[in-house]
Amino acid sequence: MRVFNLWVVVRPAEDLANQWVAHCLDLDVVTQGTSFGHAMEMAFEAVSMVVADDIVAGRDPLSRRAPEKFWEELHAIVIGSQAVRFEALLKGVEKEYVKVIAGQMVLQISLEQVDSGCGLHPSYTVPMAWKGAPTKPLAQ
Amino acid sequence: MPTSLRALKRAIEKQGGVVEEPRSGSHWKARRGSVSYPIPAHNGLKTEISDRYIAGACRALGLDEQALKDEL
Repeated sequence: MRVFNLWVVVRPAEDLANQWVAHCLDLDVVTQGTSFGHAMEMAFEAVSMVVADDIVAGRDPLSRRAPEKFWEELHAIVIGSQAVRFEALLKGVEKEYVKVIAGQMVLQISLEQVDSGCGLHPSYTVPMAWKGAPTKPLAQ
Repeated sequence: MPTSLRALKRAIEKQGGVVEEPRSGSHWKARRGSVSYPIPAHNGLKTEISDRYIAGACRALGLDEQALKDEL
């Protein structure tokens, strides 16, 4: 079993209605979904694909790391935002009131299953997230 | 400017990449050389793709972002 601690920044898409964009900085993988929760699920699926492909190809997935400017932005988000539990964000987050969310996705992946080509069964948790620029309390 | 998955697929292929449909899940997969990159496809070929995604895909696949956008 290999565990990856992956920083993910999620925000409403600036150029698309009803879409949230998720960016995993450690792997520099971007994806999107129709809500915050859907974007996180899509991020989980996308990073699982990338990690599996890289391991099979003999490449270190972490070598994909995003450019430094994105890490500087993450630092600013965490410093200037409110820490919240991930579960609270899943209950209710409206893009009108949240500019950006950062969280650390803990991805667990079985290397044996990847090597054998039998498919993989990754799982993830997000112990804590940071919510930026709210103007209204989240729905409870 | 956002684009559709259909147009993005065509543009990546014109830039020498390969786009594969998934056997399962909500992502397609772009390949260029030995590098793969997932493409969000939760609405099939009609999926609207954001600029942030396009920039990330270009970084990963080693594509020139402007050249790819010129193909869209």
